[in-house]
Order: sequence, then structure tokens, then C-alpha cells
Amino acid sequence: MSRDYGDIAEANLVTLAALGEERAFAELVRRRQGATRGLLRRLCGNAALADDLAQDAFVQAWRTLSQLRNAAAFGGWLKQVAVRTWLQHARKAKLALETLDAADAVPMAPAADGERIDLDRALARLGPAQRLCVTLSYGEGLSHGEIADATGWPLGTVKSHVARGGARLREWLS
Amino acid sequence: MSDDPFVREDSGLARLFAEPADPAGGEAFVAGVTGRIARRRRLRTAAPLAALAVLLLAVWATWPAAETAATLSIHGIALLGNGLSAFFTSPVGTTIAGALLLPLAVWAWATGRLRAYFR
Repeated sequence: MSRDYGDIAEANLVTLAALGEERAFAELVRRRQGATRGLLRRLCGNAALADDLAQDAFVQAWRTLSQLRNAAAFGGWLKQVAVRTWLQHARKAKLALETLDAADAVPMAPAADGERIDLDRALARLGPAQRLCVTLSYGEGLSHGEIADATGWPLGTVKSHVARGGARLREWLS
Repeated sequence: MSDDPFVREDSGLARLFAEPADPAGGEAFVAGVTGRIARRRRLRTAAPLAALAVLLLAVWATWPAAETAATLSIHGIALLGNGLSAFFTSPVGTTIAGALLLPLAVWAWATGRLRAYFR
């Protein structure tokens, strides 16, 4: 389908896609789908739902691509679109996102003595807000400021989520 | 990179997150996205035609009441149009319309919102 575009630099593909070239956008999807689906799978803990949200995120990206000023920033921008898509889903599903207390209130079964849990299971035990902040910080390498920009949450809230979530993960995975 | 000192120091967690989690079915996923975009475009094209068809059907079903309503509406629109045309042919009206519409059009074009609507 879009094999012709396989050798083209991403920034050029973004420019072509912004002008309405669908095959260029399909190539962008091909290149970025692994990272986007991986991010959303960590946030959702459900592969089918994550893929559905990832498709929504790419459709949203296609719709608003002409608003992207810097084609070289496509990767970071797409990440923000994916995070916003997940946040919309979380709000619709009435997941507790807004406060630290609400995130902490997610029930967590304690691990049995000596039980080692993997990263995905540990993430699933975090509250949604902590999971988001920890994944973006450790997994995607975003700074606290960038996470605050992507989520619209105050910087202090983001720092608390990263610190508390990270401490819990270290405890569970040690 | 993250500015949390814990993040920088704790390379163990960062390493766990860095493990590749490449989901299978990449081509099917791409086909899913392009399919959704095509469906969205078809819907955007079909929706006005469907609305027009429903309107025509409603007119046909309610004739001659629809004719009376349409006549009254058109008369009302004509009256409104006369008033508006008097306003917009005056120097003040032309200036106000230009001052409102020109920046709006420039903003919609420059921010890509005009193109985004039709994608």
C-alpha cells in the first residue's frame, strides 16, 4: 500500500500527510504504531482496548495534523495525542484521575510473600494517574513539565504521582 | 529525560520500561486506521446528502402544510435579508463585517482548522 514511502524521512512524510497524502500517513502509522500501542497497553493493561484507543489516536492525529507547526516534533506530538485520547477514555470510564487520594484509593491486593511480579502487573496495580505519570516519566523519558503539559495537571501533582508511583514499583519489583 | 533524581538513579526501573514491547499485527493495525479514516470521510460526505433526503421526504409527507410554512419562512427571511442588506451596504456595516470576517478567515486558515474540518 505505502511501500513507496518506506525510504522517506519522517519529517517529509509528516509534511505530505498534512497536505492530505493518505499513503504518507499510512507509512507514519506503520512506523509509529508499535510505540503508540505499547504506551497505551501500559496505560490500559488491556491489549484490545489499547489498540482501539491507539486507532482513535491516529485518526485524531490525521484530523489535526495540519495544526502541527514543526514536522520534526511529530513523535512527541503523537505521544500527546495518545495521552489525551487515553485521558478522555479514562474520564468517560470514570476512572479516578484528578487527585492523589483518588489514585491511592485504587484497591491493591498485596503480593504474597516471596512473589515476584512483572512490570505490567505492577503497573496495573497502580492507580490510573500514577500509572500514567510513571509510564510517561520512566517509559517515555518525558520531564515532569512535559507530563504536566500533556495531561493538563499541575506540576506538583505530576511530581507526587511520579515519586509515589515509582516508589511503589520499586517496592513491588524488588 | 525525566528530572526526577530517583529516575536518573534507578536505572533498574528505567531498564524494565525500556524492554521492547512490540505488539504483533502491525499491518492489520495500519489497515484498521486507514479503514476508520475512510469511514469517517464517507460519513462526512454522506451526512449532508442524507439530511437533504430526510428534508425532502418531510416536505413531501407534509405537503401542503410544508408549502405554507416555507412561504412564511421565505417571507421572513426576505424581510430579514432586506434589513441585513441595508445594514451591510452602509459604510459602518461593511467595515464591521470586514473587521469580523477577515481575521476569522485568516485564523481558520492559518491554524489549519479550515482544512481539518474537511479531512
